Amino acid sequence: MNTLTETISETEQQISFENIASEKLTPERKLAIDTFNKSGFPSLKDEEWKYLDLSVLKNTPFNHQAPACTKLTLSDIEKYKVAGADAITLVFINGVYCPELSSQQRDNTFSIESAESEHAAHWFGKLAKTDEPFIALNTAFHHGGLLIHIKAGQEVKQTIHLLHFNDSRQEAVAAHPRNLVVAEKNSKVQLIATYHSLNNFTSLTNSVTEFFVGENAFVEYDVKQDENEKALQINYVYAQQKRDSVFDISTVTIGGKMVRNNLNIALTETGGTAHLNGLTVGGKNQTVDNHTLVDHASPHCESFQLYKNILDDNAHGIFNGKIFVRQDAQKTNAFQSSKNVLLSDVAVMNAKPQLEIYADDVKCSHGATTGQLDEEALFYFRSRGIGKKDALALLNYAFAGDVIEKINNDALKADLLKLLAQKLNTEIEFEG
Amino acid sequence: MSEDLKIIDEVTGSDYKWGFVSNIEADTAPKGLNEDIIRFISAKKNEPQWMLDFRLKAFNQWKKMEEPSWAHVSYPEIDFQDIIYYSAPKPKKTLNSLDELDPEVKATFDKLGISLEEQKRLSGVAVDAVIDSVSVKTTFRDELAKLGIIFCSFSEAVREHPDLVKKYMGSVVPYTDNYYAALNSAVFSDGSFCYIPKGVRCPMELSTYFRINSAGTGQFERTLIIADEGAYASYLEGCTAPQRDENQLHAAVVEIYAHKDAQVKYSTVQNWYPGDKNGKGGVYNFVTKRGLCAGERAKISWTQVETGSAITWKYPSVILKGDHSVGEFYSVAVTNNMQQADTGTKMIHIGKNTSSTIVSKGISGGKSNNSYRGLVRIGKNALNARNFSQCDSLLLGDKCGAHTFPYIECSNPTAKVEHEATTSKVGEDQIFYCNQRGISTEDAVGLIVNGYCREVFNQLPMEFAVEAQKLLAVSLEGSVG
Amino acid sequence: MLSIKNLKANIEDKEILKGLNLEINPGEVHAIMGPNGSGKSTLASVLAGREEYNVTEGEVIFKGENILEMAPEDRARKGIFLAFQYPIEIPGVSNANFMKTAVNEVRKSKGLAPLDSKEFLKLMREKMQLVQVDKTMTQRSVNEGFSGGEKKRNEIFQMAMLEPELGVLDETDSGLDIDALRIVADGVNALRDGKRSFIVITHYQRLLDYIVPDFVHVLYKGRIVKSGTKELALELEEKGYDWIKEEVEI
Repeated sequence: MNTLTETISETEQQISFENIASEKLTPERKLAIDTFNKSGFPSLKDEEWKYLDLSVLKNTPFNHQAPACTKLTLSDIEKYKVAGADAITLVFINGVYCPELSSQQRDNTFSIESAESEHAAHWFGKLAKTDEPFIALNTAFHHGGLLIHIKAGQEVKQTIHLLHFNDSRQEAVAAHPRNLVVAEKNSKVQLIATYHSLNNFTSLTNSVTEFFVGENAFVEYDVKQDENEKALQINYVYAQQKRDSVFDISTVTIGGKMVRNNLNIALTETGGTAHLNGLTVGGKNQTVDNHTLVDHASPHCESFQLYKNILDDNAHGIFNGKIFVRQDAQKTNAFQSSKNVLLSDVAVMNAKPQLEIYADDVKCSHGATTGQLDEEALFYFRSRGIGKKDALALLNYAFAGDVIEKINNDALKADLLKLLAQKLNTEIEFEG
Repeated sequence: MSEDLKIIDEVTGSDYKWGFVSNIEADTAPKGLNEDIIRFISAKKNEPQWMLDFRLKAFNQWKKMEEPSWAHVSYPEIDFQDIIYYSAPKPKKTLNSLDELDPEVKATFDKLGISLEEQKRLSGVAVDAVIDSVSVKTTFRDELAKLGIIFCSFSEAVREHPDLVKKYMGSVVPYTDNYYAALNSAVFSDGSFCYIPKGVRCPMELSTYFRINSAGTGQFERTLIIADEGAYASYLEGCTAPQRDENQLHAAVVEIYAHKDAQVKYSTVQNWYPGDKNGKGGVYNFVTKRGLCAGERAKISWTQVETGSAITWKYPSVILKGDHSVGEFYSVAVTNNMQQADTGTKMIHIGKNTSSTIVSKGISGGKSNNSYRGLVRIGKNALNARNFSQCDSLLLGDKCGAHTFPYIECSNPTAKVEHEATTSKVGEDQIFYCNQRGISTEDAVGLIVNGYCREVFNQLPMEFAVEAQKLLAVSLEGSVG
Repeated sequence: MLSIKNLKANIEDKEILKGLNLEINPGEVHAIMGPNGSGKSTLASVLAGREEYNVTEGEVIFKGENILEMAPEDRARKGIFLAFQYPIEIPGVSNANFMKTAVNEVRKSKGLAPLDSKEFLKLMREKMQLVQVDKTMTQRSVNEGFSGGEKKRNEIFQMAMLEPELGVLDETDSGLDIDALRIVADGVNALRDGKRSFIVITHYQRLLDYIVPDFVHVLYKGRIVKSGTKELALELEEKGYDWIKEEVEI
C-alpha cells in the first residue's frame, strides 16, 4: 500500500491524495475529499462550532493514512481491557482493526466483517452524510473498520469491547475509525468503546459509528474517552431506531485536549426509546463539547437525556441538546437535563438546550443548572474530620454517580470510578 | 370526636333559651362615599376618636390613589359611588323549610355532605331550636379566655382592647399599601380579632366558630391576628357552602403579626358564587392578606383552596423580617366555565437565614383562565435566604388556559432560589384508561385531581381537607370532554 | 363467551375493520397477528369502547349481551380487561390507590362489598408476586417514570387484580427484551384457569413461544383472513405476510 501524504496549500486548507493506486481511490472517496475541500474545517463562525477553536487542526500536518497495525503485544494492551473478563475485545490501532490482538469470537450470535465489504455497503453512509466536513474526511480516509452484525432474535451474552488506540509516536496521525453496528429484529447487545493514546503528542481521532437498531432490538453503547492531554477527538454516533427498539448510549469523557461528540438519534417508528447520558470531568486546558440531536419522527417514542459536567481549572464545557418533534409524533415524551458544577472561578460552561416541537400532544421538558458545590454539604463533611480535598471529591462523586450508574457493566463502572477518583485527585476508593 | 364539635353538639342539643331575636336596626347609609359616610359608619359602631381619625386618614389617601389595572383579569368598571358602605347587620333571610331553598344550592349541600341541620342553619331556615350565635360564641370564648386568648369581632376589640388594636392595626398592611387596602381602612365593617399570648398554643382550630357566626355582610372585612412570642394558632376562614352575595365587591384586609418563635397557620376554603355560566353576577374578590414574621424563627403559613368567584385578585404574602423566619404558601385555585383568576403570593426576604416555600396548584377547566403570579424578593442584607417554588397547572380538556408569571428579584449572592413549573393535562386518554379499569369519568377526574392537590390538602386541618376534596369534585363537574 | 359478527368500524371516516368475525369460548387463548395497519389496535380499542372509533355495522356479544352500546367502565365491570399497548401515565395517583378504586368499583357492580384496606393489601401482595412487582412500584404514581418493561408488567398486575373473564393484550410484548418477556408471559400463564379467555395481539411471534395459543388468526385489511394453530405463527415469522397477502388478493 502506498503511503499517502497530504498537501495543505497555504491559502486554503486543501487535503488531497497523492501517489495513490487507482484501485484504492474509489469514487466515493474521491467525492468525499472533494466535498471536504469545498468547505474545509469548520470555523468559529459556524453556529454549531462556535465554541471550538479548531486552529490547531488546521496548523498540524496530520498523516491521514494510518500506518498498518504497529508493534504491540497482547500484554501491552491487557491493562486497557476494562469490559470484564468475558468480553470480546476488538482492537483498533489508528482506526484499523487488528485481528491478531483481538479476541477470537466465541459464539455465533453475531458476525464481524470489513466495513468496506459489499454487504456493508447496504448500510454504509446511510446515516452519516458527507456534508459534515469531518464525516467527509472520515469517508475519504477510513479503512480497516468493521461491520458488527447481530442476528435476529439473538442476545449477545458477552460485551463487545472496541478498544481504540491512536498511535502518533512517529508522527501526528489523524485516525479515522469507521464502524457499523446492525442489530436485527429482537436482538440484544452491549458494546463498549474506549479511546486511548499511545503517546503524548498531538493527534486526531475522527470516529464515525452508525447504528441500525431493528424492531424490538436492544442496544447499549458505552463510550470512554481517555486520550492524552494534547489529543483531539471528534466522535460522530448515528442511530436509526425501528419500531419498539431501545438505544442507550453513555459517554464518559475524562482525557483529551479537545473532544467533540455529535450524537444523532432518529426515532423513525413508533414505540422507540432512547437514553443519552454524558459525564465530563474536565481539567486544565480541556474543552469538551457535547452536541446531541434527537429526532422524534414517529408517535409514542420516548427520549431521555442526562448530561453532567464537572469542570475544574480553566476547563470549558459545552452542551447543545436539540430535540426535534415532528408534527406526527404525537404522545412523544422527551426529557433533557444538563447539570454542571464549576470547581474554579475560571471554568466556563455554555449550555444551549433547543426544543423544536411541531406536534401538540407531547410531554417535553428541559432543565439546565450550573453552579458551585454546596458549601453547607462541604462544611458538613469537614466538620466530621474529612479533609477539604476528599470532601470535594466525595461530593463530586455523588454528583457524577447517577450517570455512571446507567452503565450496565460492573467492570467498566469500577474502572470509571477509579479514573474519576484519580482525576479528582483523591485516594478515597469510590464504590459502585 | 374533636373538642369543638362536642361543644357545638351541646349547644345545639340543648333547648334554646332566648327565643328569636327580633330587634333589627333599620339604618342604612345612602349610596356613595364621602367623609360624612365615614363619620356615619364610625358613629354607628360607637368607635373612639382615634379609630375615626384612622379612617379619615385612610380615606384621604384613597382619594389620591388610582385603581390598579395590571392584573390579568378584566371586569367592568366599578362605580365606587354606587355602593352602600354601611348596612346594619341583618338577620339571615328566613325560609320556612328547605323546600324553599334554591334546588341547585340544595343539591350542592347534599353533595358536599353537609348535614341537614347545618344546611338549615346556613340557609336561614327557622329551626325548632333557634341557634343564637351569641350563646355559641360565649361557650367558645370562655374556653379560650381561660388560656388568655382573645378572640372576638374586630369592632369589639376596638372597644375592649384598644391598646392592642392601636399597636398592631396597619402595622402589616398600612393604608398606604394599595388602593383596596386604603378603601378597606376607611370603610371596613367588621371582621375577626385574635390575640394569642406568650407561649400559648391555641387548642382548637379557630374555624368552627367562624362557620356558625357567618353574618350577612362582610364586604369590607378586617381581620387582625397577633401571635406573641412562642404562641401558636391555626385559623380557618370560609366555608365550602356556596355563598351567594348581592355585594359584588369584596375588599378585605387580613394582617398577621408573628413575634419571635410564634407560628400562625391561616387556612382558607372559599367557594364564592361564581356567577352564572357566563360569569355574570359573580363576586369580585380583591383581598390583601399579609403576614409579618417580626421576630426570629417566626413562621406564617397560608393555605388556601379557592373555587368560585368571578374574579379573584389576591396575593397572600409573608414578610420575613426576623432571622431564621419561615414563610409558606400552599394553594389550590380552581377555575371553571368562564372564571378568571389571577392569584399568587409574595415572599419578601429581609432577615438572615430566612426561608420560604411556595406550592401553587392551578386547575383550569371549561373555558377558564388561571394565572399564577409569584414574587420572591431577596433583599441585599438577606444572607443565606432559601426559596423553593413549585407552580403547577393542570388543564382539564383543551379550551382552558393557565399562565405563570414568576418574578425573582435577588439582591444577595448567597441566596438559593429554586423554581419549578410543570403543566399537565388531564386528557381523554387518562379518563379512558380509568374507564377501562371500571372507574367512571367523574370518579376518574376526582381521583386525578385529588392526587394532584394532595400536597396542599395535607396542609389543611383535617375536617376541611375532606370537605375541600368534595368541593373540588363538585366544582369540576363537566369540565373534561 | 365472546362472539364478534361482521364488525365494521372506522375512525375519522377511514374504515379500518371491514367485517371481522371471531368466536371465543371460555378458557381459550386466541392470538391475532397481522402487518402494520391491519387493524389490530383498532380491534382492541373497539372492544374496550374507545369513543374515537365508530362502529358502523356488526355486533359484539359478550356473555350474552351486545356490549357495543355500553360505556367503557361498564364493559370493564362486566369482565373485559384491556392491557394497553402504550399504558397511560397518571401522575399524583398511586398504583395502590388506583387499583383499590377500580377493584371496589368492579365489586360494587357485582353486588359485593368493597374491600377494606387490610383485605385489599392482602390481595395486592398476592398478585404482586405473580408478576414480580415489588412494593415500591405500588407506591409510585401510575406508570410515571416507569420503563417500558415496568409499564407492561404493571398492566398484567392490574389484570391479576381485577380478575376479568376476557383479557385483551394489545402488543404486550412490544419493547420487551427476553427476560422481561418471560416475566410477563409467566404472569399471563398463571392467570389461565380454563375459564378465562385471552386475545393476544402481537407483532412478534416470539411471545407465542411462551404464551402458547389455542388458535392463531391473521388480521389483514380489517378482516380475519386465515386461522390456524400455533404452527401458523411460526410460518408467519419465517415467511412474513406476503404469501398471505397474495392468497387473499387472488
